[in-house]
Amino acid sequence: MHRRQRWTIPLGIVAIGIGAVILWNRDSPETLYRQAREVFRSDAALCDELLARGIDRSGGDFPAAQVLRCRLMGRAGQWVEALGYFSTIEQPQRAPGDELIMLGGEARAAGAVVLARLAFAAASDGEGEFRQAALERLAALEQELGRLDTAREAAGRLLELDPGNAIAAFVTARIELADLNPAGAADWYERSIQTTTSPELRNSARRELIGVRLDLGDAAAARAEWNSLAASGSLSDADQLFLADLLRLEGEARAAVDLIESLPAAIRMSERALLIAGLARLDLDEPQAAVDALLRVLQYNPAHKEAHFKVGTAYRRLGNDEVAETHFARNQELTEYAVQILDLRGRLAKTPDQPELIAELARLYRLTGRNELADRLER
Amino acid sequence: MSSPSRCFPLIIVFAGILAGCGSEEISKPGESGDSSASVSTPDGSSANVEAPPIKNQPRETDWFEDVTLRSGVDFTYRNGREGKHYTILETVGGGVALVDYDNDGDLDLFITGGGTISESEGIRGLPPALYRNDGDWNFTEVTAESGLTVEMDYSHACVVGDFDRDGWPDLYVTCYGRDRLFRNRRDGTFEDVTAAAGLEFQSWSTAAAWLDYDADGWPDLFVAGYVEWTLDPNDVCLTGENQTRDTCPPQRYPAAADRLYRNRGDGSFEDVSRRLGVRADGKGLGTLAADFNSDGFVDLYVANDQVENHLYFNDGRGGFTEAARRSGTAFNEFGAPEGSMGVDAADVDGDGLPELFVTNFELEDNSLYLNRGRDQFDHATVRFGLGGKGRPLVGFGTALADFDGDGRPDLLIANGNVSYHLGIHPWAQFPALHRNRDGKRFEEVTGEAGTWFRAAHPARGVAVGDLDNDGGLDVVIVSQNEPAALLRNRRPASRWVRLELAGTNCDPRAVGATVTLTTEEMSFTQFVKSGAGYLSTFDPRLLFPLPESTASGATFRATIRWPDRTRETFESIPANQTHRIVQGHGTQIET
Repeated sequence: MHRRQRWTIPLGIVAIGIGAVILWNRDSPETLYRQAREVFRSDAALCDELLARGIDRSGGDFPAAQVLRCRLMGRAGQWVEALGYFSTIEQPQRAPGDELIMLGGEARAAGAVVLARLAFAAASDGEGEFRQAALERLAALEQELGRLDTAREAAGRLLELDPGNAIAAFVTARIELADLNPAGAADWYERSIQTTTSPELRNSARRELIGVRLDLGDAAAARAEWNSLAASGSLSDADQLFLADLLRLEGEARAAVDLIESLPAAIRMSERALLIAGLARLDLDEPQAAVDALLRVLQYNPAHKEAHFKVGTAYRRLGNDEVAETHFARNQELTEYAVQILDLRGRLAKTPDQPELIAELARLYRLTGRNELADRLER
Repeated sequence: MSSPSRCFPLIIVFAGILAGCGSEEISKPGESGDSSASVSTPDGSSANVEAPPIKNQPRETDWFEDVTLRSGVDFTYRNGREGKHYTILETVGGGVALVDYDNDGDLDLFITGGGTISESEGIRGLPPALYRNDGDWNFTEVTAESGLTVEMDYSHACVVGDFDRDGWPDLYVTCYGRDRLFRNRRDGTFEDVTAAAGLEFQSWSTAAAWLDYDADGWPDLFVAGYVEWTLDPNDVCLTGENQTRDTCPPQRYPAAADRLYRNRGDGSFEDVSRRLGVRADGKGLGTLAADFNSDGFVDLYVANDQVENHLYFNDGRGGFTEAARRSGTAFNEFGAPEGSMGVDAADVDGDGLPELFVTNFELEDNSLYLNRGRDQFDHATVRFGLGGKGRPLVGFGTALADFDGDGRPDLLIANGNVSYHLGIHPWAQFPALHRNRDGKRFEEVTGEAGTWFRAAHPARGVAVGDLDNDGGLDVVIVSQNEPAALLRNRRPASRWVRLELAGTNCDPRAVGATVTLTTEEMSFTQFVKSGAGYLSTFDPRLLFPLPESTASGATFRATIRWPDRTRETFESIPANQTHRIVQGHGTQIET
């Protein structure tokens, strides 16, 4: 008994220690995080409890768990709360890159673009292997949001990491286009086409490049891209409008009209199809048919300045100078707005923080029918 | 510049390409499938910056031979760049007049001098140069002997007319400051009669044209004003990422008024601009006088920089109606004003009506306005295969002229940027030559044009004429701070007819006349113009190259509509000769 007592105390201490270690490990932040990940999809409540405990045990600084908790909130539709919570993370770039990218992707899919941007940006600032993937997503998102400066910066960083990155080239092309530099955009689209191995990206870049070539009036280059797109075997009915536009630029106005007429109604009656048809009808000296098509364009977009000019031209040919003049006047009004927009954009590029100029630019965007741009600007 | 939105389908292409939208699959570096092959940074100007990777040697197939070095013409228009004041004045450039000043039957050259800009002396003009054509591509400078070494302001254009109706060509030189009118004394010398003519106004004049707008027989004078600018204070324009200094754009300055001066017939002129409704809101760089609507009266086109162009239709009662908007010649294809510079006109599609061609600033198409008759024009740049061609370039001098002798006017464009450093494209640029294909399309043949075309130049004024009287249209081009170039046509037609019109009841040089030469197979129409090519004067004689199939010994009929609306025909005109067609000596046609 005495001997047993003599060993009992140390053994008990050891056992308590082992138990404490076991208990401690079971409740360590890393363990709790791992357990939370395991139940992330199956048991949101338990997941949240485990993450909360883990974060608590780490003294409130556990970026991986905090990011996972953001995802959990997002999964519950609480994106505003997720954004708020994310902003409390001291150094989100310390979170795993893949976790941040997933958060960004989910947020973007849910329309929580601010959180998406923050998540992608954090991942792109990390030191892990996911920087490139994060930058690809960040550049694409910023471009789609119209944040051209940050999009350009992200694309630039991406190109530094990977000079042959096709997505960076594609994003840069779109940025150049938004910056009213179609020739520069064309170069980047070409680069994207040359460097990508993704057929989907290649065809997307090719489609947009055809549009740029057509806008530049370079029918020969547009035709070459069209031939390549056609050879890929992935042409849609909508793509046929490129061909119609191309035919018109090649002087085959009748063929352009015939092609458009052969397309399904949904395509044939689209704004773009009607505009091409209207221009081709003018080329064919069929002013009444041109008026019919171009007035429909104006139904879609009453601020379409080119359509106003062309419908004015068609009315003039019909001898209706009075109506022609109203369209010419509207064209001039819209052209003046466009000049003012360019001026404001230039001034804002130099000194961005001018609320009154931003408001004026948004107003002009609305006057020219570009409500989406106005909304974006006001956001 | 504007173009129709093609409304790219806003496919969220990234959604399918990037695995970030909720997917758990994220590719790691090297797994995305995109190669890491290095691709050089795209450079929008590359196509037009680097010299072609071939040695620039003459080729057998070249359209033109650069004969400058052996011609004796060694003259450089100076724009004052060395002063580093980066003024807008330096952007405009100079021109050349092809003028038979000594009436010996061949074309001599008058080239404006430009000027210098310095802190100490301000803006100073440099003298022009007059070169006498001694034949066989030999020219002798005769500036001093001709009395043209007078002190002159910073100069741009020279237009040739016979304002005193003495049969000898006179010169009008536009300047920043005071323009000059030089009367030909008929002895190989000129006298400055600016003051006596009442033309001593101070302005910034660029392009000019002689036209007898009131059909009284005395050539009147149109002078385009550019902008109101002074050296003191000279604006500083900083652009680009590095905020580098460069020339300022015209948008910063108000327009300088255009002027129309009526020739009183006594050696003096009166300003009728306001009375005749000449617009004061243009920023004119190019002008062209010809009969654009085929009504027998001379009209006027003004190419303006960054604002709408102007077209004045002559009402036949001594007045004008400005109708650029109504005619479809004010804007680009979609109603936007452009930075317009040079202008020329010719019957491109063979319907007997003059098309207008206007060169424009970078990122803009040059504008081909197809004449549909009834005072209407269509913007046909794209339809004629010229879409996109001019966008990397700043177009200045231009000529619609039949260089290959196939009966259709081809198209020459001299390019050069106005910005030294900061234009999207470089200061020196490649010129362009386009062959007319059956009056339906233009096809670029710059690569076959000759050595001068295979190098970049800061080019401005262009003049076209048959300098060696061999039946081929030669070219003289004035560049900024680079010797003027003489380009000999290597494709002269073997058969041709040249007509030199002499008005008796109208402008003695018959500006505004329309001439149709009829062969057994076809007819060709040309127009007597003033002011074409950008700050320059073309050969006043009309050269009609004839088809190879033309029978030897065949004769031709010329139908002239003079700018006083009278019409007459001249029959039995033989080929390979220059014919002086004097008004009133043909067979009258009832109008």
